[in-house]
Amino acid sequence: MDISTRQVNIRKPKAGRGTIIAFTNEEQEIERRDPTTVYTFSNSPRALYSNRKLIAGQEVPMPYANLMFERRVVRGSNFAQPQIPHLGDGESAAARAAAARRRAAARKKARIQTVRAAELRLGSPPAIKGRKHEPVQTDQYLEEIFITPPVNEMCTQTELFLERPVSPFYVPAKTGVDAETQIYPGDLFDFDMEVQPILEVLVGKTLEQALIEVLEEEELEALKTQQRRFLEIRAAEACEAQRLIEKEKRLQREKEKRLKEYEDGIKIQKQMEERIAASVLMQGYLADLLPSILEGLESEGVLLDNIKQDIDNTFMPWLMKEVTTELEDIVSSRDILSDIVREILENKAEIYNAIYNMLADDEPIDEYPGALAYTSDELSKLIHDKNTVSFLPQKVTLKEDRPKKEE
Amino acid sequence: MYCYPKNSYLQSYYANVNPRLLNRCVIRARKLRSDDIYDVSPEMQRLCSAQPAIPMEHDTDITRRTLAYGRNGLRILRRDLQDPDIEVVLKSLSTLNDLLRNPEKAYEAIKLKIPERLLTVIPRTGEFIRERCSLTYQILSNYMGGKQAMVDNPKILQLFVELLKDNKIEVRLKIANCLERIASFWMTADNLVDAGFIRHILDRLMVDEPEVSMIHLETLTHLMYGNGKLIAIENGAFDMLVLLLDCSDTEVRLRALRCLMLITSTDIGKQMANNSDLILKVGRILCADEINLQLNAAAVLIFCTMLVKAKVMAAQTKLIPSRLIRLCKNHLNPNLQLLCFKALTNISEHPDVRIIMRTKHLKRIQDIVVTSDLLRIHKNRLLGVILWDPSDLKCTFGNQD
Repeated sequence: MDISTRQVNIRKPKAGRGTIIAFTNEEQEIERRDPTTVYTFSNSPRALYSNRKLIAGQEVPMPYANLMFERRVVRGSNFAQPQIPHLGDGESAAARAAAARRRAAARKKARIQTVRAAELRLGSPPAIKGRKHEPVQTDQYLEEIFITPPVNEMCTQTELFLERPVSPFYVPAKTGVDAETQIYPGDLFDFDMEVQPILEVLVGKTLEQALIEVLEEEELEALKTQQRRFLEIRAAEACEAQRLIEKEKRLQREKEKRLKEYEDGIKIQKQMEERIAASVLMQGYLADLLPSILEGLESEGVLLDNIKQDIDNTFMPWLMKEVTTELEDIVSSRDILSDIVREILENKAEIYNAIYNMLADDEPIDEYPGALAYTSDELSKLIHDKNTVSFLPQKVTLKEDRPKKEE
Repeated sequence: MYCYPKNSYLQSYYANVNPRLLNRCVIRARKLRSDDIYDVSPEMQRLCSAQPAIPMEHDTDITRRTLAYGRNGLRILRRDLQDPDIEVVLKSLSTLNDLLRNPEKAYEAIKLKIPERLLTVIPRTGEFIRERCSLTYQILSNYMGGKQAMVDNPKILQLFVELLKDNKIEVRLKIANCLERIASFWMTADNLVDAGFIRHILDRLMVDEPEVSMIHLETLTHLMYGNGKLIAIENGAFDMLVLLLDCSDTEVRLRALRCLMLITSTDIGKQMANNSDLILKVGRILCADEINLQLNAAAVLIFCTMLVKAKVMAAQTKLIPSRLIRLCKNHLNPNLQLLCFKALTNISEHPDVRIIMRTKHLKRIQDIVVTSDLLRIHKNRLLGVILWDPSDLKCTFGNQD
């Protein structure tokens, strides 16, 4: 352990920016003071340098640090199976990043603490000019310090016929200038971590858009289905309407058919009645009409029947002959009878005229009582005149028919 | 300290065991139902983190990046559409298609008359340009302004007619989608009908791929709401649709049935169905396992069986009434029940079928479970038709009318 026999007074000059230069002024102090007096100095212990980074141009060795926080040191048993770090889904990337940040902060804090602890340890001040520190044993028991420690020479002999070691790979000489940098945790771009939000947005938006499109298509399909359903109900109602129309048409046709049948029946019945009536009438008239009709027809040559021809050719001449004979007999007898009657009447008339003439000389000519004498023209006018037709006399006498008064 | 769902205590205790294996063991031991999706291998990454959000240097939201060139971006893209370099045009179209997903940009593009500008781009060489232009039209057809702008320009409609026959299926598919979107709105659908698109689409039905035909049939469904039905019938849609019922693609058959339902709702369509074997085909489809096919087949049947001859035909195929009754029992599908009730009502109006239904199936029909008032009404109508006794009618020969 080094023990400094001098304490130094260090003052901090104001010159220089960010640079502290330490001066020692103990020599001036010694020269000014009495050399016989003992130099004493007392001061409370304090840190020589509060900030190691401010020491310019000095190689500051890395102070003692706790290896438990050293990243390059693998902790744990060398023989146990290394446990696979748990990277379950429960630990997200953010959690891992947070843990890494916490560990980095702890390491930094520990490093600062160790540096401060090292700084707080009071070290030996440098030796003044012309002197130097010498190691002094301050232990309870002294140890002999050998300048030339005892040496025993030993020797060994390598075995012969050793195989030549493998030649090392050729490594070309390094060229260029080395450069180095220090990357702290969190300095680098972590793709896996940075890409997540963008990827989430991309995938989420894509799925959202796809979902919207699918929902839209489903809605359209539902609308179409509903529309189709309405059309089916409409078709059913239209079918019912058409069915009723067709039914009505059928019933109408049936009704018209039956009405027509009924009217036809009525007409046939009327015709039948008319026929019956006509036949009854005909039976009355036919007897008179038939011969003349037949005769007419025969004369026109319409009726050309074999029977009729036979009748005409054989029967009718015979009949005509017989009828003619009969009629001749009748006519001859009627002539004879009329001649007889006429003869009788003439005889009678002569008789009555003779009687009348005898009586007419005695009595005057007497007109018919109430009788009026008219000429033929007057009489016809009386008859055809509407005004006089109702006043016709019950008995008229033509003037020409009036018996002339014998002169 | 330990994360419960991840069993971190066990994981730290048995550090040399795979953590996911440990998790699965715990889940199996505790007989938990749901496995954690993070235990699968490879592991699914979590989307949320316990970490706080790390602030960025600049407040950047990558989802709200401003458009390059700001408000002039679309104008620059429109200018680049005329660039002599085909690569520039392709990139401009791709950017345009990305931007037009945003409705604000789409309406701005419509205002800038980009649909009209594309007319000058499409004739340029390159099927990829046609495809991208078709995609632009398809995206714009999602917006009302885009539909109106496209149908107002006859040149664009003519372009659509040409692109319907394009030799590249991607182009045809996109144009088919575009037309389907336009036809979905009745006002623009009228313009398509007036432009004769029903005939053009019908021409492509039998030659296009099932994927495109499916969309064309959907478009036809939109177009055949008024006069379009008669136009389709005049252009021979009925026979084509009946042929498409034999297609192997279920979606095509499904949409063909929907179109047939619209056609058979007209008087002419009923007559055509009466004169063809549509009822037999629909009866076969009724026996399919696909419930949508059954639904649409029943929808066609309700209009097909309106006429007397069709009723007889449906009754002669004894499969149809029994199948309809069986489908009626499915109370989990009320729409199917409703349509089957209507079809049965139509068929049961025939005297012979009515007798059969009354004698054989009356109890089954009465036992059908219905879950709504509407279904109950239609069920009662069916029962009324079945139980109707014609002898109750008094024939007055119209004398008491």
